[in-house]
Amino acid sequence: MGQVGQFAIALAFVVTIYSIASSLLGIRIKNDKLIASGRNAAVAVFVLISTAIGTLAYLFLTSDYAYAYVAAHSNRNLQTYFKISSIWGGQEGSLLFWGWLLTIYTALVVIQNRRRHMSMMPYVTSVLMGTSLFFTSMHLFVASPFKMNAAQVGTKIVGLFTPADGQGLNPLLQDPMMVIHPPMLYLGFVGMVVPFAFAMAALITRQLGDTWIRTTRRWTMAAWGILGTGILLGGFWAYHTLGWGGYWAWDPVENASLMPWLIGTAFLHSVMVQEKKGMLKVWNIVLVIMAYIMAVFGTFLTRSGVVNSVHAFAKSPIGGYFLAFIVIAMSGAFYLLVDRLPYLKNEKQMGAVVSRESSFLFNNLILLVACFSVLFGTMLPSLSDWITGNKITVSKPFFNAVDVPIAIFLLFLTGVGPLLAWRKASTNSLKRNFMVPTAVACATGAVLLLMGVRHFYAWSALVMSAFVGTSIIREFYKGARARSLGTGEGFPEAVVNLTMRNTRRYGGYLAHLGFVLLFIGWSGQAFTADSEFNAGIGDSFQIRNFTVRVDGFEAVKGQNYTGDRANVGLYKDGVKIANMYPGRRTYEGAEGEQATSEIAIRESLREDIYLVFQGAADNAGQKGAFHIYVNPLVVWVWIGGVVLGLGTIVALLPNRKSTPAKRRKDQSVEAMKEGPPIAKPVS
Amino acid sequence: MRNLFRKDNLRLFFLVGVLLLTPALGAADTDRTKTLGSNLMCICGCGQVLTECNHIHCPSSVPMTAELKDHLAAGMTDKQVLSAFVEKYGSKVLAAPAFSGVFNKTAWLLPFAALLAGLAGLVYYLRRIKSTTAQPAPSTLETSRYDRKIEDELNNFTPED
Repeated sequence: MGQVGQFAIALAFVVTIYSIASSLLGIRIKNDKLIASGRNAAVAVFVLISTAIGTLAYLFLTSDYAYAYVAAHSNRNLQTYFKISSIWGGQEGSLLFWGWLLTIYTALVVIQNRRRHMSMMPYVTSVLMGTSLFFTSMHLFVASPFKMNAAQVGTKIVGLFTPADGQGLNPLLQDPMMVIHPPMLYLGFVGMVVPFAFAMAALITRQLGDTWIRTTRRWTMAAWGILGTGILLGGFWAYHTLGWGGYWAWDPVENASLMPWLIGTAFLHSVMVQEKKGMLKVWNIVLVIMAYIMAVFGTFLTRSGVVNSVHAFAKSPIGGYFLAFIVIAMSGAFYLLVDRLPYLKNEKQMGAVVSRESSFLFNNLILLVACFSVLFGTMLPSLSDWITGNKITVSKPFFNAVDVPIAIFLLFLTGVGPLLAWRKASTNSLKRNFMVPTAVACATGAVLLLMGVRHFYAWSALVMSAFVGTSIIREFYKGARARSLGTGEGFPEAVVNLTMRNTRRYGGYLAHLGFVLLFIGWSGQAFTADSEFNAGIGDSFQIRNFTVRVDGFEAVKGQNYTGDRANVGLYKDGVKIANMYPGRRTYEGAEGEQATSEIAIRESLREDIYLVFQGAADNAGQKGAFHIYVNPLVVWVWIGGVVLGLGTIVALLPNRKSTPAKRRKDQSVEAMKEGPPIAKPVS
Repeated sequence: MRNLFRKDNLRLFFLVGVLLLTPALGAADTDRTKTLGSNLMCICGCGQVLTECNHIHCPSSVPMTAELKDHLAAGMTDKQVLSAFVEKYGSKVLAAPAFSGVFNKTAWLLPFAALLAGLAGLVYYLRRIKSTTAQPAPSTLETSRYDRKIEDELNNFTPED
């Protein structure tokens, strides 16, 4: 069966080359049939790679261990849905999955635009297929998931064999979240290819107006939103599965996913300046190129072995191919950009230093510096090794010291930007817009100090959150109140209608609000407490105003694991508030036993009680070893993520059109928002 | 429902929110073991700082934490403790490079230097643009009201698809 998949990949490789050649030749000799053929070939590649991924899924589901990849990443006891997620559990399968998602995006783009942007689309198809060609080459020549298990003597294959069972999937990956998290990340990464393809096509065809921006804005926003969701799901999984009490470790692979997201955030903001003012054209193309490069670079980091990461696959020659591809793509893109600079002149002048467009520039600068610092910190161990020969580690203390102040500054700009007018903000408007948020921020700062908060970064983050949160809530409140007064709608209805009539603006505010909530959640990290303790049945342990009491231990058994767990009562100020069941499991695999923790978390809006059971503390098994954490405000990270995602979805929706009667009402609302009518000037 | 959003109520909601959240933030942990442990790496290969290694019965983090506690019990300063760990395990045991030597100092300062250079460059660019733009005519009371209206409209304008 695997031969079907391998043949589909080989055929996809040929068809991909044909698609590129046909598209480019078609546009060169102005032959519509050839262009259409290139487009159809791109859809055919999607069908072929889908066949390959379907074949791999079939091999996993039927436990066909004649294939090395299947045997290495699953076993017979694995639940069906984990067998499916095993497809992206290793190097070869995850590459095929990446390539498959790219073909889905490609097929959607060429079908959606089959009657639009006729001069641009052949180049778009070529760029998308060019990226696809690289991945198909990897599947075919370097990292095929359809290799058979072969017995070797030296480098010579002496026969094929089929093991009785597979080695199993890493127990940490046997989590429902891991069924969703990697595909979301990959969808986000791959989505960055679409705006890149349109930007390159715009450069080639010299159509450097707003067309490519308007066509790709939704694609970019969707990819950005999905990538952000993927990152947060990864944090959620880490927090609920790994048992170290946190959700972000600044691991190189985590950083690799953050970098294109930061660049994408910068692009989504600066693109508004191009749409409105016809400015930052060069800058937007630079951002799109960088987002694309960072997306591929992230995949390179995971696979090259160039950095030490718990997520990374074993060191393999695949990294060299990725590096070569990145260098070629970047050189080609920047060469085109430089060549087309004369076509990328600004249509209008930049406004004053204190204006909305300037705030977008500052926002972009901060996001880029944030991305640079993450990239620099991630590569620093390798750079140190290469330059000084000294092996160093760059982990949390470095990233927290460097990136937290930058992030707080970014939060400040998040609040300031929407309060500034385009072109030039007058002193009066600054006073009018800033007074209330600033007052609330100052009051928050004072209250926090009175409450004993002395951690500067956390204090700053909370004060800034108050500032930004107030400015956003005011925007909704002012708009909805005016609408409510003008139309007679109830306040909640007015909020919904206001949002749905300008989805991009209010979706953006919602996303900003999500960002504020994320900061509130992050600031809680400055106030965590944790402790390790050993306890037998009836023993208690106190941390802050919480007490845990061990009520018992019991054995547990699942389909592919055995384990034990503790029954622990949680008391707050002497009152029992929950039963917690932290445990540990031992998974049997071909490579021996693998132990994992099953975390018990009691979540609340104020703090989480996070309890890890580490197993027996003594040989007699009378006492268990525990690690307990009090993690304030963590739940706001997840709430913030949901609000951020909701804001993105709203911003992606088209504006709701109003009926003529409604329009008249809306006009009266606008009039009420503006205050009493201004007298006509005497002519 | 409208009454719910009156100014007084909003102030009350805000105050209650702050009061609800802040007690949770009151007591920062100042344990030296935790502070120093979070500046050291576990060497088991988990890639996590010493205080966060989640390996059950980890062969590295358990003895390293004991070692750290021994050093503190012996009255060593933070600097002495970190030096002792570097001497034993190499500079990789530090979770971030020490602020010493040209390379490490450059590494620490480069992101901030990039930020400052970017900010300076941006302010210079915007001022230069401003100085080349024609000054607007002085505004009367009437025109400033128009200015305000236009500004508000521009402020509320978002390009649609």
